[in-house]
Amino acid sequence: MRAVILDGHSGKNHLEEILLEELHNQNWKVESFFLPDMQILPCRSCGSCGTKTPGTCILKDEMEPIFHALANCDVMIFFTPIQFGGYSASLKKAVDRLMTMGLPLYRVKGDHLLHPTRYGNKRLMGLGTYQHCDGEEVVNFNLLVERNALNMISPAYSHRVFCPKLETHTIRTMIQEMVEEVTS
Amino acid sequence: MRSMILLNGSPRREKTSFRFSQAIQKQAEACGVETEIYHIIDAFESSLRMDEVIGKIEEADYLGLVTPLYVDYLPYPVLWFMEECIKREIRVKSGAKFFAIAQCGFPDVRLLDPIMGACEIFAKKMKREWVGGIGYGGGAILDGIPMEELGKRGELITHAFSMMVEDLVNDQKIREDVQVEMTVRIPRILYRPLAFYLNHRSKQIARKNGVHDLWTQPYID
Repeated sequence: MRAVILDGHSGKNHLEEILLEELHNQNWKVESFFLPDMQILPCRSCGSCGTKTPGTCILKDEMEPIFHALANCDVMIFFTPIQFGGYSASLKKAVDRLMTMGLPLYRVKGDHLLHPTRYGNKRLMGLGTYQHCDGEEVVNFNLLVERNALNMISPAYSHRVFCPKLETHTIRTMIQEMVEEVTS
Repeated sequence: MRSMILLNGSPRREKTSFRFSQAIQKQAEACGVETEIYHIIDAFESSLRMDEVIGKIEEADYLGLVTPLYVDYLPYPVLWFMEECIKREIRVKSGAKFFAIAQCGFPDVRLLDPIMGACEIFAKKMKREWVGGIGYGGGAILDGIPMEELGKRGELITHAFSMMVEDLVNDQKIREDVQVEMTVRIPRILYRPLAFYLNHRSKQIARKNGVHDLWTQPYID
């Protein structure tokens, strides 16, 4: 599996070291982007990537290598501190630009109108870090990952929240479970 | 006199979120509430503007966020703004309230649930009373047209906002009837014809732009 980690934490996180180790143990090829350091402009929803320059964003910044990595991966990993029950602003600045990865068309799937994907349907893992392992922020975060998986037409997805009280072996087990869920 | 600040969360200054803000402003001012609209993207781009907005928020009885849905959630500049508000530990007037209006192109307003969850959590962190949120599905069709020019649809939205403002000035939570009034009911059986129409429109726009292949993959290896 080829995976791309979009990391929205403000500093390097010990959890990411464990995540990388576990993914390498599974022989995954992983490319990681530490987003706070990257110059990424906000999406303006101009629609160019849909009907003027299909698949290409007119904003030229450090999203280019991210687009390339995501286009060619099997699994997208959103790795973020949970803020207001969702992604951090640092992660969202990249996620907003993923509109480029969808087509400006609609298809009906179940009870929903969805945008077909430009580069195939990617699996999604959402790893949130938070001071607690439960509560309303965790519930909202999980819902957000589920909604992203729905709208990205992910064939499989997984979400977990990691809090400080978790021991390393528990963290490893949780990551292994996530890998199992997205590859089943 | 009570005051309201409406924050337009769309990076596009004069589209649907702004028109909603204008419609709410009209209703609020008719009830004697002094109302101003600020674009979050202006605060994002200018620290002076950010300072100005923060000053206004600290004095406001009502704070409303009007935002589009971006990839199932709040747009990045809105999240940035929220994080800044918490970082700056901005003052809150006694009894201050917070509400949100979220809109998306998809017909199903339940897709806006993650935004509403985030806004409620933000209100708590800001120590403002959360008085509720309203979702509008099918916003893409409105396309930034003022309410007065939208005919029956505009009247329904305006009426919903008048009900909402009435609740706010009476110190009540936004009643469920407002959401019922705002909800665009598109029967499931119409989804395919709707998708066909929207796809036809996209392809028309593309052809006008000289584009014949919407499916290009510029980043594939």
